[in-house]
Amino acid sequence: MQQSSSDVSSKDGPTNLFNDYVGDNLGGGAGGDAHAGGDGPGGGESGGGDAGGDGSDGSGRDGAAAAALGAADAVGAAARHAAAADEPDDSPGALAAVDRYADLMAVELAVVLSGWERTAGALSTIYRLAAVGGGAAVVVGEGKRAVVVWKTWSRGRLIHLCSCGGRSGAESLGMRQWMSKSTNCLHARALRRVIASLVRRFNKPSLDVFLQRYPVLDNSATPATSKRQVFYATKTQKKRGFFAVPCSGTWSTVSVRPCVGKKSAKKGRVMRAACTHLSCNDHWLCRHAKAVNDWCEEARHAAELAGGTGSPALVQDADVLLSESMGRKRRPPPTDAARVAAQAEADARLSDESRWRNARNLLLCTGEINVCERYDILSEQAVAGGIPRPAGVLYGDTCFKCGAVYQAAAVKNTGGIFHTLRGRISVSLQQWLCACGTDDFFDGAHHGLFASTTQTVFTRTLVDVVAQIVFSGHSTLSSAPSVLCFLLETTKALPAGRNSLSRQTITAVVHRYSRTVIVPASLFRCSRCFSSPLRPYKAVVQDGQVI
Amino acid sequence: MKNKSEPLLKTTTDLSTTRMDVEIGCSLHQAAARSAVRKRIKAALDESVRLTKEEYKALSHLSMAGILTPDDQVVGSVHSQPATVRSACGAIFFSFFKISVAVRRPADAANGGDGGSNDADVDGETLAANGAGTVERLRAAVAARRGTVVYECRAVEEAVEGSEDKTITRDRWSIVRYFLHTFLAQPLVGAFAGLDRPAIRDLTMQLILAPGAGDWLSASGALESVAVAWPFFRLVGTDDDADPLLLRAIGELFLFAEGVDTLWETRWRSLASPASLAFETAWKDTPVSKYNAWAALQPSAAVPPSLLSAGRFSAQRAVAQALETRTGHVFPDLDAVRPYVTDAKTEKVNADRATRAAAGSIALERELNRVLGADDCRHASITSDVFMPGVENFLCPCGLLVEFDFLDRAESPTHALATQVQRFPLLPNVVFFDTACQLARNAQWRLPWLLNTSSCHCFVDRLHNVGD
Repeated sequence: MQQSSSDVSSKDGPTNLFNDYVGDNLGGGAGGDAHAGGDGPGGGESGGGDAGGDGSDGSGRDGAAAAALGAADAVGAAARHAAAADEPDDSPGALAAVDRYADLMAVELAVVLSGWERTAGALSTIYRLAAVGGGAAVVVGEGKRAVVVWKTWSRGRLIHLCSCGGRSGAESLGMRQWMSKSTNCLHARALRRVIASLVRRFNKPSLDVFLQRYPVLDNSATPATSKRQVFYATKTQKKRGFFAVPCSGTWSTVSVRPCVGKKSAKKGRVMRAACTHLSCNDHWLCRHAKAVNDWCEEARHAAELAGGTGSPALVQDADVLLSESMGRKRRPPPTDAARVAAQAEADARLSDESRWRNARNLLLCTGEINVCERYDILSEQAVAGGIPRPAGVLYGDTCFKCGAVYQAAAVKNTGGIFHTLRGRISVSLQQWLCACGTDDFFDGAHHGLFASTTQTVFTRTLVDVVAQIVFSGHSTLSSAPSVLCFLLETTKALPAGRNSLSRQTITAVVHRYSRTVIVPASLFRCSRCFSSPLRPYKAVVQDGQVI
Repeated sequence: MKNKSEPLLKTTTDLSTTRMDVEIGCSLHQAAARSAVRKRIKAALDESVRLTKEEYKALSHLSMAGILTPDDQVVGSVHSQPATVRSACGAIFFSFFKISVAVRRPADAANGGDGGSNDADVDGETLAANGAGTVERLRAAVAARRGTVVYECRAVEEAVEGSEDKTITRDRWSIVRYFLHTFLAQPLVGAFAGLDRPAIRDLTMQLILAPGAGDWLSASGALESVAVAWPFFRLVGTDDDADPLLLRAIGELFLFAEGVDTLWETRWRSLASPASLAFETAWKDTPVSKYNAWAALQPSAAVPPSLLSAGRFSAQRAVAQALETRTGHVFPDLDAVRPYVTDAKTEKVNADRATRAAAGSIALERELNRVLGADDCRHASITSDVFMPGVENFLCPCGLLVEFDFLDRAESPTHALATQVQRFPLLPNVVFFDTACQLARNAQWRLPWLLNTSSCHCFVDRLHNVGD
């Protein structure tokens, strides 16, 4: 018997939605809902059956529960027939489940789209929903397993897809997308209802207007990228992480589970990422699982780089269990010197020639100096010799290229070190992919900062000090950082290590920084000697200088 | 850094050099005469300089020309004539030096060089040689009897007023030697570049027409900045008994030097390639819009995509900076008015040299020795992967950096000229450059019209002027 997602949940006990009411879907063949007639183009589909699910938290719960009670015993050939015929499950229990899902999704999406802070109340005991990518998809955690549901356009039709496999459990997402047909499951139906309710909630005249206002909801508008993106969603009751991984227009959920291998069994279990995508042959080794493993490794490294010994700084749930490296115990941890050397080597590369940056004025303004001073003060607030870590993530507000505002879709987080003149700060940086296809890294121009790499941020005052040593001191870009690095290592603004590596880091930073500075053309005119446009200067002294 | 730096992409046009014959700009047309003058100038003052037969012959003709009285010039129609210039050169040179011819035999040297009283000794030695009876000795004896004809050039000691202080006398002769070396032994193209030409012409006319009147003294300020000319002028012309013929000769020489730039420009037009002439026609007038229209048609002149996000007030400057980074020309305040000129011929020669040099380290060293000299600076950027060729800075006399260029090869006068041609509608009056002579020569070969129009003078600064 093919089961829907809620049917599967019912066998796992705690993973079942409304466990008291739904044992199995018996009334599934009781005819179609508004969806039975097929998905209408545009927003026409979204009007079907959203009673009780208008987005208000729990407003439809009672009605849905009563309906679920009446359908508690319905099971049999009619349900199997309905599933095989790809008809939606309209049993009272299913409708109640849809209502419940819709309620939770509405709250989650309303919070994310409005930019509010998500509270702990959003995490229920068993069912945990999290909108990822700024609302591009919603991960529904059901006990140990999770599904992800999203909406997209396909050949002019708005469809809702879910990774659960549909009512039959084996629906192909690719086929559904090609057929322009939504997944036949409770999650997709709930999302459809939620979107309709959000249109009214946000006072938009139509679904099209609503989607134009929030394009992140439309996954077809997300540019295709070869970069593997991983979004942390939520965690299980046992603190195991749930992730969502978009790939080629399809979302997959990946959960962290204990992996018992032959060699690792003696030393205990190793937490590894396991994919739930139906078409992945090996859920431990598929690309989705590998992406999550890499992400977890990166997050752990970022936390170590930031000087923290606890949880990764990139994950909002501090106690979440992430994937562990299989070979971690065999490989000795890198020493501080090796890590500093590797970071300095990476920083020294001129790898940002194709990277967008923001222009800066040649001279600091008062506001920037004040901001940098506040960063300096913050860096001094180290506890027990550690590195302070402010809350929040640094990201660019607008796209470099098209000027679009920040979209939380397709983001990638990294941990970084924030160097000030008085010390270091651990920060979380975020890069996001704009709809125009531009990777928008954090640049810091509007914050009095300069992000040299994706893991290294400097205050403008620090970089300007080096530049001024070069310019005003008639020094070189080699000697000035050398002197400054010695000074900064005494204030822990730079990590202790080989001075030459720090010097290379500073040299690379100044090199990159100088490319972003707008030098007014008027600085290159001598008001005393300039005579006329026809003959600008009557005398010129010229000479070459080897660098 | 060199290997990791971005390649510079410049929008260029070819402007090859036009070779200049040395005789075009020289007051002395005979190479032997110039050689003799140089030889005399470089030698010590109290030494007699041995000349070759050709040099002696050339100087003999020059002395004859100097003796002749030149034709009078007519007021309002003062022109420089080759014969007059030649006469002037002879008059000036032989005012300070004299030539002689003598026959010397080996016995002369043994007896102190008194050639007039040793004929008997020579005969006796010849007889002794005959006594030996060998053919070789006989031949040697015949040669000794005939003697060796020696051509010499000596200084006329009383030509320059002497002084009890030998240093002063030596300095006075140094003035004479510098003047003769510059105006007689070297091409004079560009000698008066950048100066007030009408004032110089006025001075020369007064010297030619009325050298004894003394009015030229007030006009001699035209040569105040020519450190080779005015000391000589002061040395020979301020005395009351100054030779009017010598002053007129100086005037004729200055008149020739003043007009030689125009002469070369005229000659250049008959020798230059069609591309060079077309460049002159196209870029004599230099509105910025004209260059922009030309650059827009060049495939390599497309504005590079800037990856610097800037506000509306800085957007234009950000684009300009991206262009500066790509081309290496950092001229924020000066728009380009002409294409960046390159020399395909020279680059081909350099490429061939580089190919030969790339054969190996020994070959490279040999090539550098040949091109630069064994003791010259190597410019480590030629072979180093660490050093870039560097930048070329352009400063105003105040010391403010008005522009700079990134170099993709070693600094050269070609690059220095191309940069100025690109940005200056009229070149500066004075360009201080470490190899000013090469810069001026390169400009004369390629753009004499621009150099003359701009009245541009290349000058070497004191720090680089080592050895003179």
